[in-house]
Amino acid sequence: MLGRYILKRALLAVPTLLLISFSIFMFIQLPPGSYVEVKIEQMKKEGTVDMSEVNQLISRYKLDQPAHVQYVFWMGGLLRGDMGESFVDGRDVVDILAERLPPTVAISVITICLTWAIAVPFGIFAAVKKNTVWDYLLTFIGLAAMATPGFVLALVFQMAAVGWAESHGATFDPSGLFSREYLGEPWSFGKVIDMAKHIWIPVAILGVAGTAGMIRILRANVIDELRKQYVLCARARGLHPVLVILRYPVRVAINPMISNIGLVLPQIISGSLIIEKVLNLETVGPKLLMSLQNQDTYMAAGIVLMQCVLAIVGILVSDVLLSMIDPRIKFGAK
Amino acid sequence: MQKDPILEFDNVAVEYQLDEGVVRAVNGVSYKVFPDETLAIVGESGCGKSQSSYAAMGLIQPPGRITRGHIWFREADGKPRIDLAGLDRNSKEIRSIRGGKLAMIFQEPMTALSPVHRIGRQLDEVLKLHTDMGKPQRIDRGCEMLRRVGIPDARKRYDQFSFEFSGGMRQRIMIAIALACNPRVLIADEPTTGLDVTIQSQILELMKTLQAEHHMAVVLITHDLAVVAETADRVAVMYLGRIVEMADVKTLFAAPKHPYTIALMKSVIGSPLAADGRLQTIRGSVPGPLERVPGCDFHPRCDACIPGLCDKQEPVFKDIDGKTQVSCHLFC
Repeated sequence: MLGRYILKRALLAVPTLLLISFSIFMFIQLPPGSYVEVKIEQMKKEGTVDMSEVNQLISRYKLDQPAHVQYVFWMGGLLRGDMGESFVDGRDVVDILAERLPPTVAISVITICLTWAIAVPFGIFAAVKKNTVWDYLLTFIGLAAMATPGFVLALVFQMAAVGWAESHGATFDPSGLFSREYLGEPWSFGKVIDMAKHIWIPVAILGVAGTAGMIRILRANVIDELRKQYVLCARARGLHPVLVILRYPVRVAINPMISNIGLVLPQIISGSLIIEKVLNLETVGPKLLMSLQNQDTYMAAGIVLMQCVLAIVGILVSDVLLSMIDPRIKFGAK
Repeated sequence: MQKDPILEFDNVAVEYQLDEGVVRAVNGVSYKVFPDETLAIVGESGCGKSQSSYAAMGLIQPPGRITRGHIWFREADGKPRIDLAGLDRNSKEIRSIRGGKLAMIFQEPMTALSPVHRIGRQLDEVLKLHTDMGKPQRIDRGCEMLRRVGIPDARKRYDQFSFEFSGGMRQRIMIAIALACNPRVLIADEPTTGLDVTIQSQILELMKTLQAEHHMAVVLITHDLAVVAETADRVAVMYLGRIVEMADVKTLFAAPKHPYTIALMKSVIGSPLAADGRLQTIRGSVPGPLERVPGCDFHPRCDACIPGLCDKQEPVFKDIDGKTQVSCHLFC
């Protein structure tokens, strides 16, 4: 049942993706001008315009052809696992993604896990202690956290990290995800350790607002459920008061949050662009911004397509999870 | 009924300490319930009939608390009685009693079961808490209870979810859960409100049958006089947190004493007390929860009010003829 359902959804995803990829490709081409013009401008600034180099670029990527022909060309490559080349970097899009996706995913996944781990207990606590000093304190901290822009926190955290390192007689470069010696190096154990030393800054910053928001949502959900009759009935059965809350209202209140997981996945790529920019992280977000500015078609289309795949997978994952934990929801039921 | 009472309220008061003032939800309630007996507590919404039973179950939530009185409960004949009013609402002692020997069913059966748990899970829970049965025994007992409340195909139904049952079925399940551990007292808080009339009588019939089997005492809380006439042995009429009249069911319906009881009966469709055949209403409305009425609580709405007495002096609740207890100046 579950297997068939997932298969059906996967098959349905194919036409969806085709449609999305076509739209993406067209939208990216919408702004006036193309990379060719960007390139010529750059060459002009440098002094000499080498038309042969430009013509070579045009013929290689069929840039003189209409957009739909370029799309077919791109799609053809995509099916063979070739996502084209970044005009700006002159490297394969696949290689760039392979380099930048792991740290991006690492930051996001750690942030999501941390957010849940902190938000769930505090959300329940705030709901149970509704309208007490504890609740107000949490609300205050939460509002402050949500109102503070992430990039301000980023700067503050960087300064704090440098100050701490200096007071311990060490140097620490808070910019980026890796120390200088690991930049551009292939993945190794040392590189992972080095990333762990740097990753807490973006994770903490990204986690702050998300956690605060989630506490509010969970608090409201749990308060709604606490009023329900079945909670009173569980209490009347003589169940321990802590178990009453954890087993019934919390269990029900978590359900809508599960459906949130699907929405979080696409945000892995572009959800934290400003912060990543400030922290100078080698993640996908800043790359997307740069490629869009430079009309770097294949790079931009590759990243956005990635994001769409994540969105589709995310929605499927939350649908499956939700139907597993909530008996009221059935697969494929009409 | 020479046995000891199972449940005995002695001058119990429940108050809610709010920022706006003190709400006296229950204001000195006393009654006794004996084995095999059904005591109906009747009154309008907000008269404290539910709150008094919540007090026995330890279900009064802060800012509310029991401020006065004793609730004596006897777990078994010959055993010393326990004062439920003196126990912390989360204490182990009261948790071992509620759901076990003292059980309650509520109104709104539609939401009384968790939407995401199997009903068997909730049946199993109460048995696990109050008996030392093993898992297979508990499943057997759970299915047996489902069969006894009239749910066919019990083993299959045991693993279903609440949304797969109708309202009447859900109330049957609630009864099955409440009675799973053979309680001595069942408090039924408007058990048939919101169910249609045929289902209503089925549920009441079922409660009667099970009561006879278990020698249970039942405290039936309702605002429906028809239900009272059908099921109760004795009736307590409550107004503003107090019992204003208590008598056995025949006496009460044949010769109601308190003006409030009489007014209540007149406002039932088809009541023989309504002389011209028209439906009567009680004039005025129930005072707000924070208002204090001097003298008799009912005097502002009472047709027989004696100025200078009823609005000054509180009536005493006492036995007037060996059958009826009433608190009204007309009978002093």
